[in-house]
Amino acid sequence: MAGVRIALWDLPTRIVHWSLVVLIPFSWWSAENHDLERHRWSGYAILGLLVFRLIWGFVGSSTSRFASFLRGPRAVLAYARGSGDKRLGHNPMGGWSVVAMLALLVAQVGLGLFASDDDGLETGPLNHLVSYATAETLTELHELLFNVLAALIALHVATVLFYLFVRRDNLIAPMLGGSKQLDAEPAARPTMARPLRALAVAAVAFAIMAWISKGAPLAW
Amino acid sequence: MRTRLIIGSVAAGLASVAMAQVPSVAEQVKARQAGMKSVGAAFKGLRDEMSGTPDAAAVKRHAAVLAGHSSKVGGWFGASAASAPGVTTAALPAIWTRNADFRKAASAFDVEARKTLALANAGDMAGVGGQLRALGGTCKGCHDDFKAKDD
Ligand code: HEC
Ligand code: HEM
Repeated sequence: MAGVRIALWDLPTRIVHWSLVVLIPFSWWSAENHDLERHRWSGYAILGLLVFRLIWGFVGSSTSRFASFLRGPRAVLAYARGSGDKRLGHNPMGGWSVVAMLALLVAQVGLGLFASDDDGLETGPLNHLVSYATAETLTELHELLFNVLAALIALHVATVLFYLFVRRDNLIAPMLGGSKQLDAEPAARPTMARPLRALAVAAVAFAIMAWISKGAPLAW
Repeated sequence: MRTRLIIGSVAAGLASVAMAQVPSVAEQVKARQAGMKSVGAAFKGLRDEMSGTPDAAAVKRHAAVLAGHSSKVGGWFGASAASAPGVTTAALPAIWTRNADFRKAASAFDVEARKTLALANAGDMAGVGGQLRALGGTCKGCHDDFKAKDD
């Protein structure tokens, strides 16, 4: 097959993506089974991944940056009508759906940090910062919001399947392997960030996650 | 005169019956849920104090609230306070079918709550901190068997 193979998604972005695919259902499952210990650990892992992804959205490879895939309403409308540019990476609608999912995930994890079960024995690490009544409300929101998150994820998966079967465009393989086969050399190839930079961002994300999991103390 | 007296006493009797009427199931359920919420808030208060430098006065206050409720928990679940149509309660039927076990769980809570209060009154903050696990264990011990999980 002629054409070129280009690097599309960097390794850190793929690791974040597939880890979330595993951890979000696990978080749901552990909560339903009242295994709050595992639920907390899974939540911390998601928190660390989220912090990483948010920073990576500013300093990562070109296809992972928010600035590269968040487009104005005109670009989104043009894309919805079937015209518009065919850039590499997230399309103008997909970009917003990614940010919506990340934002909901931030809210979901954020609420979980303050949540408490009825016994008050199992709590998120920031529960001590809010009153009993506030924690009760935040816990209810935490349970409700998951349904919205799940709906958005379902939409996301449905769209990917639509591209696979109707548009005959396999988006899954590049998210797994990182590269995409193109018919011709694109106008510009995505620029990939250096692995060392990913390690530095991962260290920062881990530190922030660890600090929050300790209850965000202001002094050690 | 005589009839008046009779009517009067019958009326007074009826009134007193109305006054002393047992609260409805819904009222009892609401009252005990409010009681449990206050137990939950006091327990959270203790935990929060222990997560930083405890304020001895606040610890005493929360411990007193807990010990004030702990002796009453058994009474919150009398036979007349089982469920009724339209009343949402997380109380499981096991409370009444295995009532001896339920009362045991309630008195375990009472014992630990009193211990906590004694430590708090003695100003033994480290002791209160160490006591929280035992105290919390009695909440969980009862909830696991007698309270429905909320889903
Ligand atoms: C002897 C049994 C027992 C013990 C001990 C006990 N609980 Fe409960 N608790 C219950 C039952 C039963 C319910 C459900 C009441 C209902 O819905 O009618 C409940 C409900 C609750 C609720 C929910 C109240 C609401 O309706 O929002 C909280 C919070 C709670 N308990 C906290 C605690 C804490 C904290 C402790 C220990 C410090 C504790 N409980 C000890 C039996 C117990
Ligand atoms: C994206 C990550 C998360 C997801 C998808 C998630 C999902 C859920 C769901 C679906 C429930 C409701 C369970 C039910 O209906 O009984 C729940 C409850 C809860 N979650 Fe999370 N959660 C996440 C993160 C967190 C975090 C980070 C914490 C704190 C460390 C946390 C703490 C709790 C607590 C304390 C409850 C209450 C459980 C109960 O009342 O039984 N969650 N979560």
